[in-house]
Amino acid sequence: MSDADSLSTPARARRRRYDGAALLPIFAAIMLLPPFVSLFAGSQTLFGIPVIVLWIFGIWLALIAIAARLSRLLINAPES
Amino acid sequence: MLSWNVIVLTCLLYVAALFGVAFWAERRARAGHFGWMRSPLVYTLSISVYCTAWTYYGAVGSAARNGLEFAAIYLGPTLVFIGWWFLFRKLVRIAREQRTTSIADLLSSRYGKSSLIGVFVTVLAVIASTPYIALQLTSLSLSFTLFSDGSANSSLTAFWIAVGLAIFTILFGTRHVDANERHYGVVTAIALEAIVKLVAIASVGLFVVFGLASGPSDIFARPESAELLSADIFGPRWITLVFLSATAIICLPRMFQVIVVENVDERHLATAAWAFPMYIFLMSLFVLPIAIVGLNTMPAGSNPDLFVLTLPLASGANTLALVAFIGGFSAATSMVIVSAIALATMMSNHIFMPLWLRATAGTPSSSGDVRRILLISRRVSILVIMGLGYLYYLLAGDGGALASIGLIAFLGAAQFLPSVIAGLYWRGATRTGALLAVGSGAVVWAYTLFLPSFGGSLILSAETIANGPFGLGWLRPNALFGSAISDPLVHAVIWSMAVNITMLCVGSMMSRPRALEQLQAKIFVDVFALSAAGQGMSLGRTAKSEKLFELAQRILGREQAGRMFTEIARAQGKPSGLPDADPALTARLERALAGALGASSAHAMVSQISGHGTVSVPELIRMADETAQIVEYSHRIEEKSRELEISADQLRRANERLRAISDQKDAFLSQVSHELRTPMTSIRSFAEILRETDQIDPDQHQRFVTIIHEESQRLTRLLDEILDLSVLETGRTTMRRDPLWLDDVIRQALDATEPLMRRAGVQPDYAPGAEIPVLADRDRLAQVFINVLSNAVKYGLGLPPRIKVEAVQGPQEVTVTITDNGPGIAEADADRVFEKFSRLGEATLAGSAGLGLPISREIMRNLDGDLTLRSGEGGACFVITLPVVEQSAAAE
Amino acid sequence: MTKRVLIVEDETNIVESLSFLLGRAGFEVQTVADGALALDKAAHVEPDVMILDVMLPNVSGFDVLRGVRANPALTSTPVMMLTAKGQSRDREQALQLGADVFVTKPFSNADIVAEARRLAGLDG
Repeated sequence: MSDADSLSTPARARRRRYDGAALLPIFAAIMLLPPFVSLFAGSQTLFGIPVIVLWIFGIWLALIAIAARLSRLLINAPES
Repeated sequence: MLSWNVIVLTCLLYVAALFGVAFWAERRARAGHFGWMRSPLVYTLSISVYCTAWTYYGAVGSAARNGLEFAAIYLGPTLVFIGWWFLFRKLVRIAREQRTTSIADLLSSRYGKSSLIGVFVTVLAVIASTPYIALQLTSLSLSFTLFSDGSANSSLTAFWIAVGLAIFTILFGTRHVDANERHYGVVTAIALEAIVKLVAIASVGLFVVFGLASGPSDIFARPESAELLSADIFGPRWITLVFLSATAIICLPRMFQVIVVENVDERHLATAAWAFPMYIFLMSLFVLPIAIVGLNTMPAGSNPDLFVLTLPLASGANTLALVAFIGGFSAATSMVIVSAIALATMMSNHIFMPLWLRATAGTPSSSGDVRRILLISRRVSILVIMGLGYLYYLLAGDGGALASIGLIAFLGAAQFLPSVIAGLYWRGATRTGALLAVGSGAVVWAYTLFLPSFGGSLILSAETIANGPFGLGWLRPNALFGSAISDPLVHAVIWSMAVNITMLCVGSMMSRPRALEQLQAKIFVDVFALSAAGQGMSLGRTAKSEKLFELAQRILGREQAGRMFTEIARAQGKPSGLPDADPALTARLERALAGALGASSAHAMVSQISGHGTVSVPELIRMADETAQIVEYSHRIEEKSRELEISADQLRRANERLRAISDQKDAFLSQVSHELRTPMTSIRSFAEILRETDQIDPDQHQRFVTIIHEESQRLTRLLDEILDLSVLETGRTTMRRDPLWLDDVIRQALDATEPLMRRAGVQPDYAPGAEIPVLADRDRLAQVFINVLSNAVKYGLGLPPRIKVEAVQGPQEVTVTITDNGPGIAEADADRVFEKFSRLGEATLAGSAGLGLPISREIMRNLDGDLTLRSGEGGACFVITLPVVEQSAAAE
Repeated sequence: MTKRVLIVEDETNIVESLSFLLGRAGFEVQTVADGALALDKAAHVEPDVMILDVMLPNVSGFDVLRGVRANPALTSTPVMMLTAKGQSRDREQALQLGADVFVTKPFSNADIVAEARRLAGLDG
């Protein structure tokens, strides 16, 4: 790895974290709002649980996990 | 069945435990042992005041009616929290730097510390929160009634609950004057209640899923499940609910209190960002199963809002029911306590204190103890809020489902959102815009949702709600302008938000912000840039240190004020005494007071003694948009470089001129040297001859002495001429302006040159015409004529020699021409004639150093005329011009 | 044998003093005032010494000197240059062009006579 690369990597990583922090709520909104969420509405079930329930609670849990990871990265990164 | 007494006893014990915990936490905090009280976990748990009795009981009710719709109320806050980096982080930073005490304070501070905005927001918040608080009392009394055998008076129960909550809130919520200081007791108690809530609902949930039913698949296999989930709820209402709940987590006064005001460390947000969504995830995980099982097993007509309680009771799980009851009790009480604190701070800071300040405006220093007034006003506010809630509970009874009351409050608080967001990100948002936005939004909210919710019993009659005011159908509260939106909530959200945002934009663009507004806008919008740069911005104002200290003592207390001023004095490098009063001290004191009084009251109080101040020019420049700054900067640099270019060019030209002058001067000195040395050579040589020669022919002796005499005279003349020219050239001489007849002067000159002319054998040709008056210096003018005539005699005579002199009065000038019949002067030499020491031709006139013509030209120019050489046929023709004089001026 | 001196100078009083001094010192003195006529006069007179002023009307003393040195008959004629300007630049130019002595006005009579005699080879 060249010097220029190693120098720019922390800045680039920080940039990516900021982008992630901005994109996560938008991504979440797309997943949880119509028309996307309507795709899963209906009476189908998976393992005896309605798909829509799995979808909403699953996405919810995934968001929590991503937010937890992202928060740790954001809070540990020095402020630019 | 649990007995009424057990329930009451348990409640009392639980409340006693909360008091104990709160006291203990407060004691520890006072002793400086914060420990886990300042942990992100406690912070996150305190945010769970979002989950009220509405959530606790109402979510199941909502699920039993509309399936998954209840989840929207939790997904909104989840979206906001996972995006904490953009909104909450900024809010918290601003609140800490501005010592914000409430959402009303935030808006008032942002929009130029406007007290009017504070009042607007407070009033709207209180109106919107009152039903919400009543809702908690309703659910509490409902749950109590469930355990009573009918003998208990539910409204009496609600009354005592309200009294108890008021006491708790007053005890732990108004310990400090500084509302911005953390309420450790309250927060700890709320955190405990959060755990109780979660444990209770999870216990009920687990009991329902695995006790009453055999796992989730069993539950979702029941017919009610399919029925609840089959309806397509993901339409406009779903979006509206997500939006409203996202708004509520930002704008509800109690949420602002726990998330922003009580925050001790920005980093706690990072934990809450995922931990709070996790908490509400767990809170809602069992809602749907409980609802389905409730609908499946409970008798028809049972209130689904109470399934959490009634399911365990119906199954004989009394202990679990008690736990569930305590959970609901926790949810309701924590909400009421925090709401009361938040609203009381707003009421006392934005309504009571400004009134008190106005009442005592004339006597700022002699009016009693501000601290006591502040505490009393806050306590009274708490009682007023509790009273209002209880009153509403009595009036509205238990009408309406829990969920819809909550949503009405949400939309009321949502009217703050556009102004908050614009305040944080748009520097152009102004006070006028915010006032119009909150005002108009509140009116639309009240008209389309709040007032109709009373079903015709408050202001709007049932008739008006159904058909519009005065029968105007297009003004029906549920269908403004005939908008065909079937859901009243969606309708109200769309209209109120549209009006709100429009008014904010239009109002902001049509109004001009004051200096303080601009300053605050800059501080809010660029909070990170400013705090990174370590730049404090303040108004240029100051007052005597003593006065400021006195004010600080009256509000912060002797001890704290002393500590603060000592610290500032140290920072200023003063070992003792009060700090110097500079704008920074004034600003810092105002911030400290804002923590107790709110920004607008603090500003008003400090302004009373320090004047209103202005934003200094450097501050204004800093406030200017960065882009504008850069543009301005480069503009200035451009201008500078252009100026530099111009001055460099001027310098270059000046330098060239100087060099030319220097060259001329060198040449002139060299000429002068030559001209001086020449007569000197003769003088010295003949003097030496006379000194060293003993016998000399007397004639020769006489001749040599004559030469010496002539040459000395020549030398003297030369020096005179040089001096004369120098004086004339620098314009240091003033010529007399006597009224003269030109003819007299010409005759004087001809007389003077007569011997010279006679020797040259020339008879001047001069015919005096009409009398011509001139204004001039007689001797100088004569000198010019003599010089030119001598020059003609010396250089310009033909055969036979002739000199012609003519004087003519023209319309603009008087002209004298002196023409000879000599060889003339070549065009190329026409200018050289007037150069110093220039001698044309070989003949040298004894006694002239070649300065006659240059001197003559200078004299004429000093007389506002000129001397020029006219090229023409034949001999040289010198033209002397003078300005025309009015005939009368010359007459004397 | 009398030595001939040619004085090229336009200032009549200076010509008069030089003529008096050099004539008294035993020279046969010839004079010319115009630079344009100086060369012809020199070729005609064939002087033993030339005294040449720098500032002459029409043709400058330097040009006269150049012409003198270009003329085979006059190449070796000693030339004393006179100037009223006395700038070192003039002195250099004069010496470079072949002048033997350069004298600044005002001069000392004794010096001029001594130099003229030396150039004419009258002093041993």
